[in-house]
Amino acid sequence: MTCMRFQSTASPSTTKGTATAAAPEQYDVVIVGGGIAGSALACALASSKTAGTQKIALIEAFGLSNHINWAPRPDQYTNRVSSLTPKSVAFLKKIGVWSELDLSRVAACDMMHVWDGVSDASITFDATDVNGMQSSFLHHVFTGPTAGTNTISNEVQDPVKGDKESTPLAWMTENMHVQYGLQKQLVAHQARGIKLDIFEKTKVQGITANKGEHTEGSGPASGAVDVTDWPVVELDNGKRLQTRLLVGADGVNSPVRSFANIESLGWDYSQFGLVATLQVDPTTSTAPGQGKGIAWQRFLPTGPVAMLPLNNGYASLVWSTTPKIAHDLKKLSPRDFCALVNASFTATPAELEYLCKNIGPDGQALVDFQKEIEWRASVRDMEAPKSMVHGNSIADAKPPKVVNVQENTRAQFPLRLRNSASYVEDRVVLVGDAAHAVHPLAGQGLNQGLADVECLTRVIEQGLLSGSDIGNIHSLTPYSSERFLPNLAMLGTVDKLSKLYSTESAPVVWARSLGLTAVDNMGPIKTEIMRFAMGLEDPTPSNRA
Amino acid sequence: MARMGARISSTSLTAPLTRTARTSSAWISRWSHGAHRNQVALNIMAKQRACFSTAITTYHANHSSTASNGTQQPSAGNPIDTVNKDEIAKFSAMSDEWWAPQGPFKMLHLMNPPRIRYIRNRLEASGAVSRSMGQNNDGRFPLQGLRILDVGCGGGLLTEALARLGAHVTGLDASIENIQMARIHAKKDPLLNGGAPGSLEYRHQTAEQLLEQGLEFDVVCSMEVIEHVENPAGFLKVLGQLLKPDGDLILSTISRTPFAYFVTIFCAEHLMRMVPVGTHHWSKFINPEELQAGVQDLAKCQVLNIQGIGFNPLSGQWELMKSRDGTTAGDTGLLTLLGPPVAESANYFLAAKKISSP
Repeated sequence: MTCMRFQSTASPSTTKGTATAAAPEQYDVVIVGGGIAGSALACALASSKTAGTQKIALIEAFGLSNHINWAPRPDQYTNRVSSLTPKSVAFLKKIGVWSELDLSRVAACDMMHVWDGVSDASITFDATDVNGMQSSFLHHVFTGPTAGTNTISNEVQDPVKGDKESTPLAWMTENMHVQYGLQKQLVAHQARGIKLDIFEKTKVQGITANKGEHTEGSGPASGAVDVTDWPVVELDNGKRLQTRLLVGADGVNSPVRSFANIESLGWDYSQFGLVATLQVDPTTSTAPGQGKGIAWQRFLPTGPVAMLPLNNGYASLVWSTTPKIAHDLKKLSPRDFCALVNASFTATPAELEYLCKNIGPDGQALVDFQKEIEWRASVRDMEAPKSMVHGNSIADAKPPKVVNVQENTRAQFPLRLRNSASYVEDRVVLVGDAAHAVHPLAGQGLNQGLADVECLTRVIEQGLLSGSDIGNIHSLTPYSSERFLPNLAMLGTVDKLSKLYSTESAPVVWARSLGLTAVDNMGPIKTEIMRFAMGLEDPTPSNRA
Repeated sequence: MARMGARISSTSLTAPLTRTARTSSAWISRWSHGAHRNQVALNIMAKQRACFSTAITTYHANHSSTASNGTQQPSAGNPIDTVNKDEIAKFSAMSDEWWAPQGPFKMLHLMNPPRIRYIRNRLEASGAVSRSMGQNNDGRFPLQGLRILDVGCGGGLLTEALARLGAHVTGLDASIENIQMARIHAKKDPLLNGGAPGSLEYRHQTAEQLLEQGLEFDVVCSMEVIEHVENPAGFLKVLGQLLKPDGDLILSTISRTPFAYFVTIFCAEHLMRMVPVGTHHWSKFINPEELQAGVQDLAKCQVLNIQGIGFNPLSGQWELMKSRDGTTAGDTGLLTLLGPPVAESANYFLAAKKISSP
């Protein structure tokens, strides 16, 4: 794992050469990047009574309107799936996006079973452990009695069943699905007269600001308005947008962040994430509570492998592993791939390592994976008494068998950790991956981005209500101080987990297993962890007037 | 004095004011002497200098009207001569810093949102907002139609915010550099230049000059100014005279307590260097009872609310605390757990309404 320091190298072009260009059009908020975070911000601002008065632009290099025509088939799921925490779902409801979704394509995750691939120590998170608790001790310490979680608890009842008692841990749905809901809402906001301009398939060519360079009219005697310190965004369609507030929702390599000279700190894991859409046979799972959505995650020395429930017997795979194995797995035949995915949840790390070594250069299996796995499983079953050590029911449960992998859904991406040195600069703010990137093992990246958006929307609303210039850094500071530490805490926690589980060293394995088993048996502490992961543990007052 | 004490105890704020009769005589005499003593202050920074003209104003005001309320008013010598060119030059250097993100006025910038929350809340409570046109729009311009005077406006931090909320605001400051900086900065936002209902004008004038021109306002604000003024008593009197009948007076200042010394001078100036050393003089701080008595007797206003505000180092924000009636102006921060007297032991606001028939 290398530790690097990233500094912006992209140098935005200057406007000097294009002095003849037409005067730029003025906006209050320009959002660069129409991914989920950027689109959700546009949607949140547009749906707000206060912020909806602002003139907003959303710029995206790829298509956005095509998402509206998204017509999914019930037997096909795209490979990028998000687990939305109750907090994120509450936010999507608030901005009108949740009601646009097809709830038959949203899978509730009621339980999460996490275990150690080396020691088999395990922990089970069950949604019923959290529900019914109005707020927790920790919450009171941070917020005092005035800002309770009652509002959150009321909002996050199960959208499918409308049943407050069974709030799932998370909801699984395709990123494409969330985008579909967002774009539908954005078009609806445009139709009802919100000043929202969407520039899709449009690239940002440069961002400039004439800081310190005064045009005529900056003197006290002159009457002209002087907005030379507002950033100007130049688009490849020739348009120039000048904005009071520039939002970078433009991903890990954010050009907006480079423009603002904000450093991004972090490192790349020597791991890749492999995603795929799987078809499973639910009857093969030995877990109790049939019909419940269960997420399975197993920590292997090469990285965690997770299977997240989708509807109709489908599941989404996120397998973090070495770049070579990720590359090899992509090329395997569907049959061999499924065999290895099954092995990743059942075989010992040593067996798995052996199997992965037997993938040929062109993705051919050098041994018969199916037979190898069955033989090894039969040997393992003979050592049965081992399971007596940890005898509670789900600890021994097996995930459902993978029977197929959907065509063209295997994809890999590098895993990294990043946090920007700052989230705000005068007239610039960063949200989502532009501000921070996290290891996907806890499924928190998108949820962090949505929490950023929710917070920034509230900060902009409060800025407008207090007569502030919403691009002024003092108006933006509350966003930074509210989001920076929680994001950093999440990044740190997930990173430590990743490091903790990447070793086979016996004392470490023993200690971590002891810890995991202990936590599993300590109800209140486990509940606190779950509340944090579900976004219910928000130490910031969200209902400030 | 006996008459004054009787009138004060008949205010709407009954419970915490048992000490008022005693302290009200104390503050009058203290201020009378303080006017001389404090002229020699050398470390006066921008905000204080901004107040010198109001001191001058009140000096004249006192000379013309000392007999009317039966109180012995200070005879302040001639403060004009003591405001020397060095101070003006030092201040010119500071005036550029008003809007610098990390400059010496950062704490004032951070204080702006709770100030606005307090002002909005009090104007709603007093009925001024509903009398304005503000209720007819989407909530963005709640102060639309109100004429507001911001005395000691500095670089225009509060002034601009009030104008963005729809008010017609006059910013007043004694320093021409401040006024010039404020005018330049106001040009930087289309919303303040015809893009929204509010309007903004800056005047390098004294409050007394406004009075001579016959100007009157719906609301007079003066934030963190009176503790820098040479003659607070006369200052309050002029502020009261600039108000229309039923107009609202909103002030903020700092209590003269050991705690206030600790947080505003020891911590903020010397330890943390959050504000320039010499910004505050503890002896000029004013306790709530003293300010209340002054507003009552000199500005001829009925005090409706006193509410503390504190800097929460955990959130990095200023937060309103509980007022005497237990309300928090909608704030939910950690500091709302605190109420008087702790809440008023450092920075606090006071809201009053001009008594329509004297």
